[in-house]
Amino acid sequence: MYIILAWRNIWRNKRRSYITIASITFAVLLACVMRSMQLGSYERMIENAARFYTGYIQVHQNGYWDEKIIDNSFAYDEQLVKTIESTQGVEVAVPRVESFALASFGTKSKGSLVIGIDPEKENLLTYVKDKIVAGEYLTSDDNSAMIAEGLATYLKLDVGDTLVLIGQGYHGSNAAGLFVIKGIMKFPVPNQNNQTVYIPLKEAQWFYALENQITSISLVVDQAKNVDRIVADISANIDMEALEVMGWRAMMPDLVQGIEIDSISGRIMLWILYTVIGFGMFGTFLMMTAERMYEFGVMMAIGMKRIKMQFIIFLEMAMMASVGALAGIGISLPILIYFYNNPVFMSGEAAAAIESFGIEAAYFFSLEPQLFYNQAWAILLMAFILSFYPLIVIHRLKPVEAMREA
Amino acid sequence: MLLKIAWRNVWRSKGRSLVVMGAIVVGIWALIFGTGFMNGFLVGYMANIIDNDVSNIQVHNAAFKEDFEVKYFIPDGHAKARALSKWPGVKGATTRMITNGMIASPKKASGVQIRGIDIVNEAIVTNLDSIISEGTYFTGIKRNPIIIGSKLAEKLKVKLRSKVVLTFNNADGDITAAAFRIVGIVTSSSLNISQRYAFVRQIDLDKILGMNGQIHEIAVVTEPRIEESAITKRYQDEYNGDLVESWREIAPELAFMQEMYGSMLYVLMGIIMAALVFGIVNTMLMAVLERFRELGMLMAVGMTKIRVFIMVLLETLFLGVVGAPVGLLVGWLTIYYYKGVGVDLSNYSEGLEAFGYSTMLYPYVPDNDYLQIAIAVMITALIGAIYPALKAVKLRPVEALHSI
Repeated sequence: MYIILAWRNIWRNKRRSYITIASITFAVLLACVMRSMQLGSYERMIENAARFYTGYIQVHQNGYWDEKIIDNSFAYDEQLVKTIESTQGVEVAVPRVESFALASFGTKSKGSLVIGIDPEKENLLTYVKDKIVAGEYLTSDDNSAMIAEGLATYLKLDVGDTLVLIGQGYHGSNAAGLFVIKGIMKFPVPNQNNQTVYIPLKEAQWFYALENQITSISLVVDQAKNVDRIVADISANIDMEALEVMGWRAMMPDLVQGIEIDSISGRIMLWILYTVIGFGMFGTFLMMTAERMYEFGVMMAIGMKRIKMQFIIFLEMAMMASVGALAGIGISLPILIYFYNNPVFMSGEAAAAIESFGIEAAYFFSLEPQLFYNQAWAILLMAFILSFYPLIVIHRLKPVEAMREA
Repeated sequence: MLLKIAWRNVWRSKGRSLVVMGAIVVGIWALIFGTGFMNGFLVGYMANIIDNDVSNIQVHNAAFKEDFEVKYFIPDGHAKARALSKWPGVKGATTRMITNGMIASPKKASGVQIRGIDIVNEAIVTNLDSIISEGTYFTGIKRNPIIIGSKLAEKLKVKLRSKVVLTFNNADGDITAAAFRIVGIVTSSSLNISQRYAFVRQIDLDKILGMNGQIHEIAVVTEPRIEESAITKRYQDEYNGDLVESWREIAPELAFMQEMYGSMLYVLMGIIMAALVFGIVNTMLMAVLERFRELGMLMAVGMTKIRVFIMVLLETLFLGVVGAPVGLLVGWLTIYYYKGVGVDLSNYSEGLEAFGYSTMLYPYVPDNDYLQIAIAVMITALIGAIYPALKAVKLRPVEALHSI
């Protein structure tokens, strides 16, 4: 009975109800947008960092991460690759042989980071094909190399020249080889741009006398949040004595740090938003109460018990708040889906500064279901607390005064 | 005359007016606090890196940046540094002798950048003495003292008074090694300090390196709020040939963060302003609807629609004019209070301390921003009042008269 009364009350005065519901809808919408942007930026940070080099997850020899030496390599065996690639969530397993060597051309030489890659798979992780600025991309059967632009400039070599690589191979053997430069790549980060040489995996294995070993397998996963589960799944299926599986959190503690810090500022900004929204909602409730003073006065004068009226008002507000919250989610969903697929690109100096790092300068949005759920509940909670104001007003109401006031 | 009416209307209904003023005050406070907070965040992070590591300006021999060979020292380095420290706007300048090499403990070895520092000036420029977490700043050990970062110490599994061996190429190109004893350990959120640098006294390093006192790097710290470009330009005019760079070129990732934070801030402010507009629209709309008899009466006795429209806008303007100073004051007081005391973030993150960040955040709002925010909020409030004012004008006087 009360519910019917409350519902009818709401629709008796359409304009007022629309305004009240709208204030909650808008609150939920704004909160969702802000949170979506924040979460979107973290997702992007993780993706950028993972695709920069390490991948979301790496499988390597136990002890390799602490001591990245060629002796800590492991067998690149079909069974292992199959196990890893068949784990749910894994998109690509990218093998690498990574070590140091002295790169030399003419009279100049410099220490370089030599990475043996499977060209097609590597590109699926780091999009390295897009970084070619001269020459061509490697194929897995080549016996040539690609070199970073900074290193090429230092050694004064160009596409077609022959690079000499000298280093130390597996178990101390000598590593020496000649590689024709097939392509030059430009990396946004100076450190990488000044020391990287890519050669095909087979060539690297030959160079370092590795037979069929590699130093790491880097994984691309479908969603960053599945990383922990995937690490657990893989660890259950492979030899954990010999190998170790590490997620991006273990490999990039700086990133964890960065996100943590960002998240703090994000939470505080959200609280500030809640304050402003809360005040807006409060204003609406205040006005609504003031407008209905006459109605309350009359109801009580003809005999309605105070507590029953409070209950009905409470129901009205609860229903309007729920409708408002659902509408808020309903409106924010299509908007955020649109922006998820079409990120907002920045412009001007800010954009240039960010792009110089090889990172897209745009605002990214997240469609994580949790965020809608959490924001709606937060706003509903606020509405619940603020709804006590009309209830208190009714509690103190003197019917005759109320009717006079209007 | 409209002004008088609008003003009196505002105070006639204290409750309603207080609500709208309250929304404006809260809006202004939110923007001020938000700006201050984000700025404080960014400044805190950047200050860590700039104050302790990169400094405002660095000078090198141009060839040194390409090829870290010790033969590329800065000609007359000490004299230049001494002159620099006396320039207006410069708080201090220090010299460093730098070479790349290896540091080894009985357990492990690692690549490091060995920095021979001028103890006195280094403390002025980078406050190296203030981030010592264990041990002392070069006191207590007479022969070859060395300071390393906490992460490096952990990696090498060494502690205070442990011995480490530094290996590097000397000025003649021969490999040399020398033993050093750890006199202090520093903690910083800067990875360089924590893991990649090893600090020794210039005189000790020189004996082994054989540089005859020549140095490779001059680091300059400026007085607060001084533009680096003024100083770099003057340096280039006076001492042509050296490479002089500000932190923006040396650590572009900081400029990157600054831009990212800046643009994020704008967007967040936009969202807060949208919330504010809506709050005002809602409240004013309710207020107008509540007053429909009064407004209808006014129009019935001859007030033109335009005048009614302007009256509602004026009321909002007055509310803004009264509310804005209050909002500014509350905002300013909040920032003032927290600027002194600092916001304690340790509830939010245990991670911060472990990473070497201080958990106290000091909000900072540039003076111009206060005025900008107030004006932006006033304009927002006026825009918010347009829709309710339009609604007021569409009321029908006849209905108003009927319900009296």
